[in-house]
Amino acid sequence: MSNTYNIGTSNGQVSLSVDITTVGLAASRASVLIVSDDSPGVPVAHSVDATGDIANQAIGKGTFLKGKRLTAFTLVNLTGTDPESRATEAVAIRGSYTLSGGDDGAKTFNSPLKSYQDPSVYVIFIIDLV
Amino acid sequence: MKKFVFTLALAAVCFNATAQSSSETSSKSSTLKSLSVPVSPAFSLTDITPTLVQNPTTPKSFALGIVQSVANGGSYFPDNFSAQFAPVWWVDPEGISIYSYLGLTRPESGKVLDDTRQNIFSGLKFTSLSVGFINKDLIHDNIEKSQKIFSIGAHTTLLRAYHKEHTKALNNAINSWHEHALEDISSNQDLIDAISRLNASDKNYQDQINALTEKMRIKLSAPDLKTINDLIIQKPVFAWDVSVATAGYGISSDAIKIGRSGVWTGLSLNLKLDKKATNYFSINALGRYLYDRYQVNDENVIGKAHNLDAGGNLGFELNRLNIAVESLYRFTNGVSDSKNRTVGIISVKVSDNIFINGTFGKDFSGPNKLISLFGINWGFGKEKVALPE
Repeated sequence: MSNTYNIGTSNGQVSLSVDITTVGLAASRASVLIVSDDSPGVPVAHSVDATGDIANQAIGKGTFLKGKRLTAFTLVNLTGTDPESRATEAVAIRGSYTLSGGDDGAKTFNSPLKSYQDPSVYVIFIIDLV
Repeated sequence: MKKFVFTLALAAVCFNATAQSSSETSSKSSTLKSLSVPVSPAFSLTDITPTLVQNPTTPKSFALGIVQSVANGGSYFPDNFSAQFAPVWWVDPEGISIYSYLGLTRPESGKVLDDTRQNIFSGLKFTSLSVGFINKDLIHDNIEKSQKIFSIGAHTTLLRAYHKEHTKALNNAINSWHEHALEDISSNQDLIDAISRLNASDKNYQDQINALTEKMRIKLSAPDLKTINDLIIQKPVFAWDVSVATAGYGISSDAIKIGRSGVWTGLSLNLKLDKKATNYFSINALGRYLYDRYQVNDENVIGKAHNLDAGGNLGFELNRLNIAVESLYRFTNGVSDSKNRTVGIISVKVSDNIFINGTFGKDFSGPNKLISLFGINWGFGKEKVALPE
């Protein structure tokens, strides 16, 4: 089931914050694209340190973002030599994503997708901005 | 081929001889290794090695695990349930990051790297709890009846200190990793876009995502990850670990008594002898107190026992050669036990998987008080093989 955030008639700046919880190394990058064409995703925000967090920041005006799909992609590298511990840490990774500035106001999502390719974990949050 | 078979046979004979000698000795004396501070003290205290340990990251998942276990057992008592977790995941998940995990102060944007400092008490935050519900006969009397046993324990690193250079190198490597990881993500934008355009309602959605992430090219940040892992496995200059545990025995349906309790502590001092951190001079001190309400004494009588073990070693860990002296003393109910030893240990690394070990010294148990052991250890993995005890 896809996530949606209602920008509605708002023409102000829409903001995004990402909070990644992991004991691994994390780097995040958010981009937007139009699903119906082949144009590449346009980066709108990225993390500044290995927490993988993106501090609350404007990612574009409502008119620019409306109708696009936002993807926050996080690469997590798990450290250590024990594969079992890494597998446990992969399960424990969490992601929290907050959008604000649209008609929906501040809305938080806590269920990103995860794909585990030891020692990497890809944490992916996808949302339609309508 | 013949040479290989001959070498294998010779090694097997040597290993067998060593194993026999070792088992005769170890049956009468404790070993320094047995005093190591356990990460899961609740399991160590009750001598269990659970095959399935749950790692609940929320109180809800912990409660659910217990409820399911109770349902499986058919009684009010969970059916062989074991779990291990760090409470910080329950109470302060926002504070968890690679920086807090490794004990580094989190750099703020624009801050110079040299400002990063080490939090020597960072291990406290990740104190872990181990919990076990088992049905086992831990009272060694003539009645073979298992008791309902609840065991709980905690393990923490009270203090862990590294050299300033280590902290700086680790922080530099993490920053380099982050910079390169962002470039890696950018170079995979085509795959990320393909993931974004997948249909979330497709029944194979997760499989499609996995297929695309398998194609990801993570090249730039991979060397940084190796550097970070190499730094993480370096020994701290000083570390202090502590574990505590207690176990309650359900003697009858209405009587629960504390059957065992234990405290372990270990201090280690590691002085690096070279820049590559492959040669160390190390001093380790280990202590263990165990209370057993139902211990069988030498007269075969069950009673309360207070066991105190203390030991330590010091030695050089060089590239291919380990030389150490270790001592071990035990006191039962305040009286010095016979299970004491002081030995010298030498270990030579012949190749990645083959070690020649020798143990020489004084063992206070048994009629022959001198120990002289020699053996070869080999393995198929790359991990170091333990010295014979």
